[in-house]
Amino acid sequence: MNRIQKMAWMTVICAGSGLALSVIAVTILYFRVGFPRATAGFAFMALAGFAGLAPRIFKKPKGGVDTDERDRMIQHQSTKAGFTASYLVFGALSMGIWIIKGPNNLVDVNILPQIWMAAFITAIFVQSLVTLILYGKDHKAIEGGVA
Amino acid sequence: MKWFKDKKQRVALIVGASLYLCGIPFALLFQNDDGTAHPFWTHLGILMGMLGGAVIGFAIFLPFFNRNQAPPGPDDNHLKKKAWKGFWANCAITVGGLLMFGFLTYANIQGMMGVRYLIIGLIYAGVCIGLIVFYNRQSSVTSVFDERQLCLISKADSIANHFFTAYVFLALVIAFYLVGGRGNVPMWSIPIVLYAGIFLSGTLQFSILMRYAKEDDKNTEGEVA
Repeated sequence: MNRIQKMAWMTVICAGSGLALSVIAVTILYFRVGFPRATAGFAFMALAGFAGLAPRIFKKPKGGVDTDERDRMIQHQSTKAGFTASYLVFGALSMGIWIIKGPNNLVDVNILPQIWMAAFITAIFVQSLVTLILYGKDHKAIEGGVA
Repeated sequence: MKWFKDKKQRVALIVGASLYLCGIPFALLFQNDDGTAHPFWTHLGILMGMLGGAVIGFAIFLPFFNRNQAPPGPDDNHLKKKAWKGFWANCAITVGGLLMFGFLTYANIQGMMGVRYLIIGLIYAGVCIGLIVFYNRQSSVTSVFDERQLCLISKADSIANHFFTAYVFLALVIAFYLVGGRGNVPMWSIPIVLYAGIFLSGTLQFSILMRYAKEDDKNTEGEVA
């Protein structure tokens, strides 16, 4: 498993566990205290922030080749997939809130950063997931290929 | 089924027909005790029926988009063609979306349930057309772009995507600066920000591609015979 795969796994695990715990917490709190207090369960999404430590934990090896053309192509495709997913989430949330609330109402300004964070976390999660899928299970070569 | 030779076409047809046939019982059978439509199951059935119809449309119209087109000429500036195609698609999405948004805002759709389903139907149709175009591109054997052009296209895509992210963040900061942490924003501002961001990032991508396409034109004109 190369460095990019390890970082992708860490991102998927952090963001995925944060999402799973958030959904469980919001569901439990909904039946106990109802909305809007149940949205406090989304605080577990902060676990996704630990994915930012991945470049520090999995450091670049000194010397040698970091990436080859295949690694760069995979990074490009996964970044494209991540941005596509974030566009879909951003568009769905924006228009969904507009359809549900109606065009003549007001919305709390604190909804706006929540929409942005949802799209951002979706982008990094999908990017990491696509990276892992494209590398596949049989990729055992070192990063940069055999010299 | 002999008219549908492609395996994916057949799978899409089966999935679409299944969704359509399953949606009808949801819409008809699950009703309230007083005979009125159930708010959840009836709408779910209608949405499933619409989605099934859209998938069936995808399966039927897929071969029409897969027909062989005339091969591109050797002197065609493919980068310029791609830039213009992307620009017109961007304009169509932005203008069409804003027109629909403006119509729905002033038409007061609160009591017009049929218009909501029309919106959802248009969204399904748009997604299916996008899938047809995507599938058509993936199944093409040769690419008209060389490695340099593919690299330029991917760079332009990347710059446009990062610009959109930064633009949305800037809009967010401006909203907080104007309204404050405990204020409210009008509902119509969110789709305006979305469509403006899509248009600006698409225009930036177009500008970058056209700049390099003009360089290609200059290089072609200046070639020694």
